[in-house]
Amino acid sequence: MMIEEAKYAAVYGILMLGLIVEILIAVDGGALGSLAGPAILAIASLQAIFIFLVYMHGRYGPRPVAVFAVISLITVVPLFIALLYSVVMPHHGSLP
Amino acid sequence: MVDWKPLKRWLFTTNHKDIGILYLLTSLYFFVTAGLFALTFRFQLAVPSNTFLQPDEYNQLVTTHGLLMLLWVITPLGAAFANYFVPIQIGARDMAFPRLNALSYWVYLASGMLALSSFFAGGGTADWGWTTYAPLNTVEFSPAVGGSMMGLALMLLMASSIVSTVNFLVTIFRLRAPGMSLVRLPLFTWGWIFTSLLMLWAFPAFVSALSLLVADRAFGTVFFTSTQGGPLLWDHMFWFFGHPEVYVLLLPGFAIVGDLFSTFSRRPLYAKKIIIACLAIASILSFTVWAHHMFMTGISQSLLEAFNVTTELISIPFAIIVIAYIFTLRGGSIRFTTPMLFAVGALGLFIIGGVTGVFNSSVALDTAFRGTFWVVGHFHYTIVGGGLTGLFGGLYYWFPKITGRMYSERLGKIHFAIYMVGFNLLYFPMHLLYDMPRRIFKYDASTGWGPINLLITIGGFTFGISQLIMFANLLWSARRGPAADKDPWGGYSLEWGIPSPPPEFNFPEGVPVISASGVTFRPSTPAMANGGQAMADGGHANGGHAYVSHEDEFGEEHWSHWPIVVAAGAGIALWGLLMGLPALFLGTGVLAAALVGWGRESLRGRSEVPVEATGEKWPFDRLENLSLGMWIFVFGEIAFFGTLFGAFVFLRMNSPLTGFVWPRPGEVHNIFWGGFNTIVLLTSGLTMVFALTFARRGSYRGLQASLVATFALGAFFMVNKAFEWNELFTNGFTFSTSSASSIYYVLSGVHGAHVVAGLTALVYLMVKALKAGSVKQASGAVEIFGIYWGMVDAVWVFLFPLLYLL
Repeated sequence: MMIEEAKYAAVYGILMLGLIVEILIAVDGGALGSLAGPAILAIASLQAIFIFLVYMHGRYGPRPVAVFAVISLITVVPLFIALLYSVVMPHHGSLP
Repeated sequence: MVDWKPLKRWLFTTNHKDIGILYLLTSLYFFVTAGLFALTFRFQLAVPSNTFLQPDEYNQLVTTHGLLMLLWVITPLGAAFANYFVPIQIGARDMAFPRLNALSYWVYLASGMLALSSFFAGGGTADWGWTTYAPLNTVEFSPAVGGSMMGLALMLLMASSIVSTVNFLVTIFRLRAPGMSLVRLPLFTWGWIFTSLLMLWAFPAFVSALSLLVADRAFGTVFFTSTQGGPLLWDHMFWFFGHPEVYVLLLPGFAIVGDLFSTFSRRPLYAKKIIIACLAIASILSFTVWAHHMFMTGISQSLLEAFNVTTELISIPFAIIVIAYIFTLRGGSIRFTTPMLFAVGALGLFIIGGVTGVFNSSVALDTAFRGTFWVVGHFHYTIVGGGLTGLFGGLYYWFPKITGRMYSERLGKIHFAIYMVGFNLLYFPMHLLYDMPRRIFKYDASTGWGPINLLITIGGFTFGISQLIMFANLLWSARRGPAADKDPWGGYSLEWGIPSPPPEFNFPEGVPVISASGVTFRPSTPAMANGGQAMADGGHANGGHAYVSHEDEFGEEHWSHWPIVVAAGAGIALWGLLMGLPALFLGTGVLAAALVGWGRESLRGRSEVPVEATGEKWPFDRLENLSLGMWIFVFGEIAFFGTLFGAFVFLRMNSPLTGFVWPRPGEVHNIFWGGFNTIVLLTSGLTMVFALTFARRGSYRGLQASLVATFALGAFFMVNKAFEWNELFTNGFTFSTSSASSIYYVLSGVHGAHVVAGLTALVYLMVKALKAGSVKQASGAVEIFGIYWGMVDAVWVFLFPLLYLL
């Protein structure tokens, strides 16, 4: 049982560490340049994965849930791509 | 003394068959209403320069017709059959969550009443077309309160659908009878699985879009009026929901067609596994085609090409299904009963709709057809032809099972004949009007569109009259038709093996056991997976035979007052949000009281749901019903927040192109304040998992302390957030300051609403832990809440950097 608690506390430590690194990058992220934003989002993604796997996972069988979660994430990926492309790619303007 | 029991039965029932009937009657009521709207505006268009309707009246009728037919008629009509027959087809006694099932229905009804009452809200209802395009949907162009009310009605309807989706998926995945493997499920149930998955991921996206719209209209945010967001943002968010919605409308009816072909040709469905695979592929592809509705919006050429390809790709699985259906008939002994006629008709009409759809997938052709009556003709052939016609086939097919009486076959065939004539007179000539704009309320005689429009209107009235024959037939037959035996068609799915109408718990002979050789029944024992004697909604096992039909014909033991009261409270509160504080307070009070009542009912164990220990549960064998339900809800939340994050990305990336300077990190928001609040929320996540650990260990004090700590931290997070909002407002950073402020308030606001909902549930959890016979009994509820609270944390770890650091 104590192992469980140690695991949760360790993940909490990882989440806090990630938070500190995020803030440091945002406050003084000059060295990372344009990578600062992606780096912060990568840390947030890792934090979310830890929460999902450890805090939300509990004693459930992980695989069906994880597969379902990944499919859920994949469904919104095309929207992100299209929204980004709508902005980033040159517009051709309205057709006649 | 007046016997109120029959009325109470329909108000308080939690039985899936009763709820199915309620869905059926309500959706048909909305069908008549929306149909009358259509006839009214078709009358307007019948002749050139008609003055029968004023422009705003025309726009309101067209808008409401579209919204009602799509969201309050066709989708719920499929839900009616699903409610009634999916539990039976999988060999279950009821839905996994009977009270939630009742709640879904009553919320659906409340949303419909809210939608229709928007006509009388002053200034009329929404008049922007069913697609609700920006900027027509903004206050500047549609100032009427009724428009906002329609937006709220849509949000309420989406909530009902999402709850229903969770319920159906848990039911199908967890309550299947022994031997009822997934591949043995009838095609209708398979169709409903994919429909539910589409609703699970597409409807939350619409809720996101509506959240932004209602925020714009009610709170003055600037999503669709600013150049960073505007029409393109709405188009993406709406159609990301809107195109999968097409398949939500189509799949139930289309799947029924497959079952009807099989039954009435006395042949097993040809290539059933391939059909299921095609339904899966089409469902996945449906999330990759939405921008074909946006070919004329000026998005980049590469996007046009990509969506052109995906749209043409999605026709392939449907073509395979059509071929498989036709092959099912080959060599069969076909009986052209009324349901079969509707099935054949649906397939033929769908093929026409599908072929014209391929035209629209081409960027070049779509450029010519966009916004014309060609498109109206196309989508009616698909949705009404393929979807609704198939559902009408289902209505005739299952009528004897639901009522225990046969309908008039002759009247059914007359209905079909006039239906097909009316349908094709109504929709086929629309393809000839490929040069007539679809969104005009009158036209000049010189255009030459008059004769075709008159023909279309005649077709519309013919189509409408044909429905009267159906209603007369079914109403008369329900009371006076000859008695139906349990299997008048020679059907193969489980509903045809039980009496017509089915008894309260469906299977009077015991638990159905499905094998390759057929169905046998074994007496049920109270030894259920959850170890309890309880039955759905708190009834008690009857002498060890849980499936024995109940003596009480009304099923009174399983009534619950709270679903209808919760729905009424929500409906009144939303109405009051726009119409005045008294109604808002009344609705909120009723809602709060009803939720407390619901919780107390749960605490008395009235919502325990039995699970047959030996049933089929793959792939979720290791999850309890409630935890699977919570996980499925969380998957829907991914789509909800994912779409909102997408909106953030769009606004953020668009800002430099529109000359707007997005606030730099620390310029508006205090990073350290936000960081501190993040620590508070993440710490509450830690105390929550500690609560679970203590519950499993049986430590009452540890459990209570952890729950109290979680509550305190969550509440502190919200208080902190309130102070932060107040300071931002004081500094002039309001809802309408910019797109940056708008998205900040909506994102942090909806997350805050989730925290508040969680805190409310936490109070219930603490009471439950207090009352539980043993602490370990409470651990199940703690686990489920832990999933939710983990999601709230996971969302915030993205929100913090998006709002404060980037």
